[in-house]
Amino acid sequence: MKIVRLITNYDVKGNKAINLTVTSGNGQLAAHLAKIGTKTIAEGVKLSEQIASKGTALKGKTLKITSVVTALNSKTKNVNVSYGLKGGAKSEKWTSKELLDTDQTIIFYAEIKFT
Amino acid sequence: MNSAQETTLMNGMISFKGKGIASLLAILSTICTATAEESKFIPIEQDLNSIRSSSAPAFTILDINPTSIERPLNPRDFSTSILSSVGDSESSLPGNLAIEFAPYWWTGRPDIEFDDLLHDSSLGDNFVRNLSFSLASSERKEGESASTDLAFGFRTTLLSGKPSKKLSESISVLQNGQLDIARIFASEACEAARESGLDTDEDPSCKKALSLVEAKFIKSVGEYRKLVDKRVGFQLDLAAATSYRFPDNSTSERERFKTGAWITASYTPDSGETGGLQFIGLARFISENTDSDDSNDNVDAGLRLLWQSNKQPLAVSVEYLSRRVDEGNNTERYAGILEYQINPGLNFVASFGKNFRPENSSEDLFVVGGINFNFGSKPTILIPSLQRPKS
Repeated sequence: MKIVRLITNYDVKGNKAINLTVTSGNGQLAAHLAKIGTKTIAEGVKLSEQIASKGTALKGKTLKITSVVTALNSKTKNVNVSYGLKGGAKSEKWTSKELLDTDQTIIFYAEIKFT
Repeated sequence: MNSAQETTLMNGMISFKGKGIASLLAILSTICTATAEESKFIPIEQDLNSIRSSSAPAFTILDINPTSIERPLNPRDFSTSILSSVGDSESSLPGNLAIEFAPYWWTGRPDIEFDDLLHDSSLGDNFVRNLSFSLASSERKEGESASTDLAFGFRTTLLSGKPSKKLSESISVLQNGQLDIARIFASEACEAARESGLDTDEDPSCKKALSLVEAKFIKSVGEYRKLVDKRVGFQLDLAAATSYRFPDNSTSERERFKTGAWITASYTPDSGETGGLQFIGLARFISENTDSDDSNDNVDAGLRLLWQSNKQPLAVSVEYLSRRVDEGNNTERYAGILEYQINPGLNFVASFGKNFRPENSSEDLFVVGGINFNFGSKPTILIPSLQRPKS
């Protein structure tokens, strides 16, 4: 199974709550799992979660998101996962994408280190 | 329809037109050759919903489909058919080409989620997402003179029905399977492997655990795949096309040949299975230029009843069309159609019955059969092996 990785940082400066969103587009079937350390903080077909009430509580930790996407939409070979974080120094959005044959499955893996 | 038996590879299809058993024997002979060649390729599970002849409007306006009433079709981002007249041409190279494309899907659509496509959207969204354009050519030979027809068309879906109840229930099974894979991938064993710089595939325990859940998931995809493209309930398609004829293959002699627009409405009861019945209705207007520089307007109305097997990649249908001719005698067509998927991308299609009766002719019996091969998202191209050896 092919794996597409995203390694990045997110600045959690400030006392605002940190919100995570993870979605998959192109009409493809997907499921996501988000962990910080060994703790699962969210899982499902679409994530929209407050992951900390204060940004500073996350400093130095790493958010790891595993998304499994299957190309069931035969209209296109495009598959993608979009990650969004809000509440830190600024809102950020990242997108990982790939081309995949119909019925094939891919893993998108993201590591976001809170700085 | 020519009275002489004729063999052509056209519209992504080898077709045989004639009046006798010889035509059908020729078809079976070609299937055997094709199937033997096909076995060299990796087998992919057959998809009942892909059993169909090409229905791009550009093909329809050129009158080269075995059926006159097509089922609603899920457009692909790009699909191509090579057309060649094997029987008529001295050349073994494909002489004609047809393409159909849905530009909306050429770029990524990160904001469209799986659920958005699963359930019916607004008319505007359906129109844009399902809009596809087609171009096609067809070579014609009449006596010593040859001409080429070029056609341009579009089609879209206004109402796309809904997923079957069984698919709606199955989606959670597939998504749970995806979560199982994600849980193993994110497990402490696999995490430890990644942290030590190994790929998931390089750590034996992680690889073994992932292989087990992957195998189970792939089996589920194969099982439910057949339901994904099946839409039940009411569907409504809109299409239009125009064609030009180039006598003696000269651009200066170009003349508009046919222009038409049609709507196709269908109703598919939710049988809870991959197959079942489908009722399809058609209303079509076609304006055809005649030799005397006048146009002849035809209005067609028809019905098709289709049955698709649950277990075999087989579909059988009957269709009836009534044609109201503007300046001439009204006429009708009825046909029986059999479609069988030999392999993904390779379909056998045969139709027979009574065709529209041309002016000043009593010939209306027809037998059309052939192999239709679609390529695009699921390509399997075996053009050389499909060509009939020259006698």
